Amino acid sequence: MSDPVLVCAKVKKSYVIPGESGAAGRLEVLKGIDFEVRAGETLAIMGRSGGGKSTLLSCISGLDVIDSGEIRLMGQNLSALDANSLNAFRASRIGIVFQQFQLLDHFTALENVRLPLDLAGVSPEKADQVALEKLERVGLAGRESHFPDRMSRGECQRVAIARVLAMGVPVIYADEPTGSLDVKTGKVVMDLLFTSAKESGAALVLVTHDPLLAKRCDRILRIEDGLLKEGPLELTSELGV
Amino acid sequence: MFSRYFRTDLKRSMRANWIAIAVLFLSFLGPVVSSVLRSSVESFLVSNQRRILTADLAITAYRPIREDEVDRVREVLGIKREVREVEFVTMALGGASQGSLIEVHAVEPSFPIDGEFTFADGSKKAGGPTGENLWVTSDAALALDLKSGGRLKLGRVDFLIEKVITQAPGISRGAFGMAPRVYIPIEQASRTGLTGFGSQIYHRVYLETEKLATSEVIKETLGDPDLFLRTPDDSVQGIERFTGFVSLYLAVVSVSLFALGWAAAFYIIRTQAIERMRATAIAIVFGGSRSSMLGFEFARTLALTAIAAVLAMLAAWGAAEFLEPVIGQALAKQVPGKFEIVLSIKDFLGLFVTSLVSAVLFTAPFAQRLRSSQPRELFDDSALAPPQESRSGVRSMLALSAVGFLTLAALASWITRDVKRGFQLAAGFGAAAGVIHFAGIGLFRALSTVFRATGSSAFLRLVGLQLSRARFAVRLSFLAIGLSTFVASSVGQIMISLGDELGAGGKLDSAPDFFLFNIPESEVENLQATVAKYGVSLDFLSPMILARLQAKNGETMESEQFRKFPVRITWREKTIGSEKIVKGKPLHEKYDPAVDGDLPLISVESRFLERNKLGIGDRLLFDVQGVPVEGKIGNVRSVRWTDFNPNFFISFQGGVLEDAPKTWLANIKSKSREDRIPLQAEIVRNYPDLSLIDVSQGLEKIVALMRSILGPAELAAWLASAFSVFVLVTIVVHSTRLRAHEMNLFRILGAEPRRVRLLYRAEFALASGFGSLLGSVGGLGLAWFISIQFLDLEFRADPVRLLLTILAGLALGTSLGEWLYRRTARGLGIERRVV
Repeated sequence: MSDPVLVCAKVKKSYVIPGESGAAGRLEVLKGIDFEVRAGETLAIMGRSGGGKSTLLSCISGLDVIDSGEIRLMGQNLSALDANSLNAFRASRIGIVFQQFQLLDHFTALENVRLPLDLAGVSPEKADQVALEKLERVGLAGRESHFPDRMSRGECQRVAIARVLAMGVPVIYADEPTGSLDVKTGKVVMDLLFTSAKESGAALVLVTHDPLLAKRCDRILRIEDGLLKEGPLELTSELGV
Repeated sequence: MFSRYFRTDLKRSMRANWIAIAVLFLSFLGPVVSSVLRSSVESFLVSNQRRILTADLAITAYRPIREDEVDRVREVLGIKREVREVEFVTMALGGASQGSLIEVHAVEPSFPIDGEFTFADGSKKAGGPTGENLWVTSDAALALDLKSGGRLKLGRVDFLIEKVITQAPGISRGAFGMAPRVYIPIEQASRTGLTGFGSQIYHRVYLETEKLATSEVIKETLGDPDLFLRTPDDSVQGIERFTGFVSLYLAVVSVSLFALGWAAAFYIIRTQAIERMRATAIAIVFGGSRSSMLGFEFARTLALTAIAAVLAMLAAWGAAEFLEPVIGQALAKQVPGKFEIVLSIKDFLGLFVTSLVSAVLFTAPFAQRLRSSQPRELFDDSALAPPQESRSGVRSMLALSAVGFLTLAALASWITRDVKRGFQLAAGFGAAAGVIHFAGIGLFRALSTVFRATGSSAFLRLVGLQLSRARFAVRLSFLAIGLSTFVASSVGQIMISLGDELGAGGKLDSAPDFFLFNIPESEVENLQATVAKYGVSLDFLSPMILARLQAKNGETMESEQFRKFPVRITWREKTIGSEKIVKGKPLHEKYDPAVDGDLPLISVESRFLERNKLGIGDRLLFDVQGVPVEGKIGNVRSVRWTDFNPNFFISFQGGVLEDAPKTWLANIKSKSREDRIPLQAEIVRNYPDLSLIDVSQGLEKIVALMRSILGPAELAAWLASAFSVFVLVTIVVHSTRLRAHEMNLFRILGAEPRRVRLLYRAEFALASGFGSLLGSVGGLGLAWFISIQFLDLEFRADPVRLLLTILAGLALGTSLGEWLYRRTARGLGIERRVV
């Protein structure tokens, strides 16, 4: 069995509620999360809306600071990194696919895919080459000069996947990647995401409401009352999600 | 390292960037052109200052300057050359009986020390006229219809006009440059008989010295307060005062344009910053750091402001080519030397500093948002994470306003070269903007409350709500329209008052034709007989006595002005039409110790009273040609100086000054225009000792002068209005995206497009209408203040103009609202589906 690429140990996270004081003034969202993800593994995280799924994603991608516990990515404790090192570390280890794609509207498809490479200082030629390859990989060859507002939502999500692939990262997080797509397009996009992750050997952490999508993953975890529980799909179905 | 991303980002947002650059360019252009003009005029004056004075030192007195006084200067500074001059004004009668007041310069043959005369035939000469020859300036030749070889009689001497001068050395000092100059040999001055008692004669010595010194040093050497000193440095100060006024005016216009443009650029860049926050968050998720994003935003903003600054400089350079001959020609009439536009590195540096400060300020909203932005918000379900930052909006706005004010003040100081004035200007502008802004916000809130309280329709309540929560774009539109109508309305209303006062049906018709002064007492009766032949009389015939105000309540007057200058006083048995007693009672016609007390009573003009901190009951001691005369202030008069009557600051009761040496003043209003010229000719011919001013001619000059000042002011006001329309257009262009969300919501909630369109129209129309209402009424107030306080005009508001300005603002606002609706709706596709 391969070594874990992501380890979360006793992770706690709470938010201050403005205008409230004392115990009522803090909202505990994550109350001690423990889980591991291994290289190449696919993991689905399910839970109710407002249950803390996105908070967990924010924390494990280093976009939010945890109150206590430890998050290790590729052996590196994220809390030990300063803001700039964390940016650089994230750019080289983590790729994120958002529900709303989060493409830059004034950038073309190619420029969007190339964005992390440009930010990492990769040479323009190399960046273009990689970006074109990845666009081709997601089936968007010939669309590189198109802007997001001229593309369908499925195509936008494919550009977002190509952007993650271009990064060549060992861990991919996907936040409701089919949430904005119709069933048919969603299936195409997810096929692409699973295949791509498998090809690149990256671990895939998928946050979803969709039981069918979760079922395609190696493991399913559900977030309940701020804690993560491992359980069969049927239990998550009982939750009504 | 991120250069490619940044380049792409810049390239993709080029359209918005160019709009920001255009707005910034226009706002930078005013200050840089004003500053370049100021630098050029200053440099021109400094390099020509000796030539303007025509010597290293000029000593002037109302009496002949004694040799021992010159010798004292000789001991301290050493004298290489010395030239004397006598200067006075008089009436002259030229060809076709044309009369004009002229400035006579009687000079020694070696005049001037520095400079030369240029004549109509193209020749030049460094030296004055000799014999019974007279040189006449071209404007005097024109006014009196004179030609070279003709003759001109000044007093008792009939001069041969030897040459016509196209450019005389030095600058005109007497008669405020209103009277053209003639030059005669100095020995002829006394022969004319025009330099006798009662005439204002300037005796002057020009010196070329071995050493240079300031006026203060020479003043100590001479020690006589009757002597006025002028160094080359002093000689340009008078001109600098005038250029100071011009540059103040330019500063007002350019600071207004700058502030408007700046506000618009701030809005555009702020809007971009808001829109860019998502892009920035995405870039941070994919490897960009906050510091690099802030650095990029600053670099981008700096690039925009720097490009605008460079373009403004290039435009200023281009404008210089065009302005140089125009200004050169205007200055050549008054000041010798060639005018050149100087493109000083300091002006450009000033602009670069402004662009740098602007970039810092413009980046501030981005920095503030970046600090509080959370890339986690890119995840769909981030409702659990409330914003962690404290609400520092008010503090940030205050800090930004403070830096903005300081920048505006620094800019105004830079243009006016006067820190105090710069701060006053910025404070005035800030106060006007603040008053208009807060008055507007108050008005919007009140309107919203009224709509709510009176149970108005849902639509009106919504309009009120939209206005009371007025967004930056609406507030800025309101402010831009308010400020531009404020400027346009104030200048326009002053022009109207001026036109009413001086134009047809106003002063030009009611004013006297001639104002006569220096009338010798011996000639009063004859003169009355002369004018009676034309069926008119000497109106407001008043005695004028030269006296020195020595003491107030027994204490010597400290002001140097009273030691140096005589006060013209009179006695009057009753007030005349242009006078009104504002404090105290009318004085008895004749002084009677039994009724009036131990001292005769005096009537004092109100401003003279205020300026010299006098009050009713104060005792004033005058030296009337060596005789002490004391009086007590009995009342205070306001005087309408623009009525062209013989007006005085000090007026005694009758029975006190009758025996003092005096001359007389009077007005003449001729019966018909046909009588004017022969009457004037007869007076000038038969009474060479008196001076006559053609009031109607003078009024026409004043009107022309006022128009030449207010004309560009009105043009600048319209320019400011046009610029504010441009500002509004850019605001609307940039509001579209921010409004899209709102419009979507209205649509989703069931609002008909027709209602949404009406809502937008109403929102902008009310904002603009209130803006123009406040601006126009404020401008009217300013016009009233300037007219009464500075121009001494009877203020007449023009309600039609006021109404038109308000309606124009309303129409502009409605159009903007309509345009904003159409742009936003088109972007959302509503227009195509619904309209």
